[in-house]
Amino acid sequence: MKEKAKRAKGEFLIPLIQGLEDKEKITLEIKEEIKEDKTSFCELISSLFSKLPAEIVDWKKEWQKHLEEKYDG
Amino acid sequence: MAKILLTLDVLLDAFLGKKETSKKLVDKLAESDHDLFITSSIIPALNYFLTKYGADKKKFKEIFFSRFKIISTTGYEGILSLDYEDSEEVLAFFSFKRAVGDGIVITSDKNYKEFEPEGLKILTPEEALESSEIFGKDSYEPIPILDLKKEYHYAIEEIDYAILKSVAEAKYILGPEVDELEKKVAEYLDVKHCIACSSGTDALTLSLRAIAIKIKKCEYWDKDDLIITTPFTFVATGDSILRSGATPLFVDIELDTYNLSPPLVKKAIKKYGRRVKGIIPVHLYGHPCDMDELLTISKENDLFVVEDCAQSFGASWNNKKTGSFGDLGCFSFFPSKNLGGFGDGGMVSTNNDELAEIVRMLIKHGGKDKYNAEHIGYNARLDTIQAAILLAKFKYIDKLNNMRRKIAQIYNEGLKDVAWLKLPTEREKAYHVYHQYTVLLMGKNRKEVQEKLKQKGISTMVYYPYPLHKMKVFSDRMVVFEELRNTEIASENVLSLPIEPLFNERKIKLVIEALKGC
Repeated sequence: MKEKAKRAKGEFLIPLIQGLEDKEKITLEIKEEIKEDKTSFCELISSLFSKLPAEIVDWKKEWQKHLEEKYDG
Repeated sequence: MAKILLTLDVLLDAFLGKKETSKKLVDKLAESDHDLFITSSIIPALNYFLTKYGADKKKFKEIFFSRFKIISTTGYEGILSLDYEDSEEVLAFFSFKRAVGDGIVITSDKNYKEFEPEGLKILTPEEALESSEIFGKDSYEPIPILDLKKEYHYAIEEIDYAILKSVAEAKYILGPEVDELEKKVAEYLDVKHCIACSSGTDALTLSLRAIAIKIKKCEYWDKDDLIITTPFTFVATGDSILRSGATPLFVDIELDTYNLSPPLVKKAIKKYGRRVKGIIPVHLYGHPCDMDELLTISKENDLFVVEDCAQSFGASWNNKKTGSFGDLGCFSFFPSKNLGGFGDGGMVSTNNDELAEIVRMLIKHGGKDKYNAEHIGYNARLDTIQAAILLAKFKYIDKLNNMRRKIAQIYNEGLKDVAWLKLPTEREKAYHVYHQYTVLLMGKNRKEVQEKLKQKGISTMVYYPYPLHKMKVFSDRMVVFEELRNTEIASENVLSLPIEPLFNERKIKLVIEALKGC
C-alpha cells in the first residue's frame, strides 16, 4: 500500500491528487495498492546461476555423489 | 537486532532446492535489520554448487556478502566438537558462540534441538518464521551509544585474517604492519611523517616533549612555560602538558562548536606574553577548530601548534585533514574512536623531519640506537597486532565517517524543532566526522532526560561532566584565563546521543522520538 495523500489540520498537503480543499479538522488518507516489483534476495541469488536446471536440485544427493566421486580410489 | 547463523542446508534449500519455507525465511531475513552469519566451514560446499551451476561468483560475492558475514572456525573449536557424534554443525555452533556471543542458529537438522549451547537458540526454518524474537514487531531493543561488536562483525573476515597473520608472523614489536599503517595514514593525511605509538595520550606527551627538545633544547618544558588549551576536553589533553613539564593555560570555548575560541586565545597571549609557548587545539567531537585563525595567531606570536585529533580522524578544515595543520598532530586509536583498535593505540603526524626523528626516538626509550639513549624516552610503541587490526579497519574509515554524517543528518532533521535542544553546528569550512553527536540541553534537567531515555533502553553519555580547571590534578598547576563560562555551560548541559555508524535510520528515529518525549 502506498500513501497517496495526507492532510491534517495545519499540515501541508503533498499534492498527489487534485481537487482537495483545505478544510480544517480533515484527515484524509488515500491509499493505493501497488505491486511490489522488487526481486527477492533468493531470486537474485538464483538468477546468478546460468546452468541451473528448471527442476528442483536435490543438492544433498549431489553433494554426496560429488564426495564419493572425489574420494573414490 | 538479533545475530543469526544460517547453516548450509537452509541456504541451499532456499537457493537450489527452492524449498518455500527456507526461501521465505532467507528473503525475510535478508530484508530485516538482523546481523546474518555463516561459518567458513560451509564455503567449500557452497562453492561446489556455485561452480557446477555456472554462478557469476563476482556478483555472488557482492550480493551474498553484503548481507552475510563469515565466521572462521578455529582448531580449538574443532577439538571441542570431536566430543560429539556429528561435529559438522557443533563446530559451527562453537565458532558462532565465540565470535558473536548470544544468538540464534537456524538449521533444518532436527537432531540439534537436543543440543543447545548456553546463550544459543536453535530453530528450524519453520520455527524461525514464527519466532517473535526474530520477526516480532514490538521486541525490546536496547540502543547503546556505540556497538563495537557490530563494528568488528562489519569487517570480521579481514580483521580475523589480519590478527591471525600477524600472530603467525611473530614480528610482535614494530613489525611490517606498523610501518604500513604509518605510511598509509601519512598519505591519507597528506603529511610527510606518521609515527605510531601506544595511545593518544602518549602521542600528546611525546609531541610536547619533542618540541621542548627541538626548540628549548631541554628534555622538558619549565613550570613557567604556558601551553594554551581548552578546559572542555578529556583529561589527557591537560595532563600531557603537565607531563611535559609545562603548565596549562585554560582558555574558554565557543559554544557552537565547543572548540577553543580564537579571539580569547589572542587575548590570553596578549596577557601572558612570552610565557606562552604553544597552543593545543582540540577538534572536539570530530568538529575541526578554526585552523585559519589559530594558525595566524600562532605565526604572529611564534607559538607551536600541537593538534589534538583524538576525536577527529578523517575530519577536515577547508579540505585539509586535521593533523596536517600544526607542527604535530596527535591521534588516538582507542577502541571507541572513529578509527579504533582492539586496545590502546595512537599516532603522531608531522611535516617536520627533525620532530619526526625525535618522536621516533622517544617512543623507543629515547635513542636511535636501541642500546644507546639520547633522551629520556618511553616504551610507547604501537603493537604490531594493533597496527594489523587498524589496517584492516582503515579501508572503511571514509565510508564509516560518511555513515556517521548521515546519522547526524537524521538527528538534525528529526530534532530541529525541539526548542530545548541546541544541535551540533558544522561550520562552512568544516567537515565534521561526528565522533560524537552532542546536543546542549537548554532548561532541561540532564539527569532526568538521561534517565527517561535509559528507561527506553537508550544509552547516552556526558562528555565531559568535569572541566579540567575543576579537577584536583590541575588545582596547583594551571592558569585560567578570564571566566570559563561557556565551558561550564557545556559541561553542565551537553549530552551525547547514540552515534554507532552501523545503526540504521529506524534505530536513530527511535532515539529522536524518545528524546522528543522527554
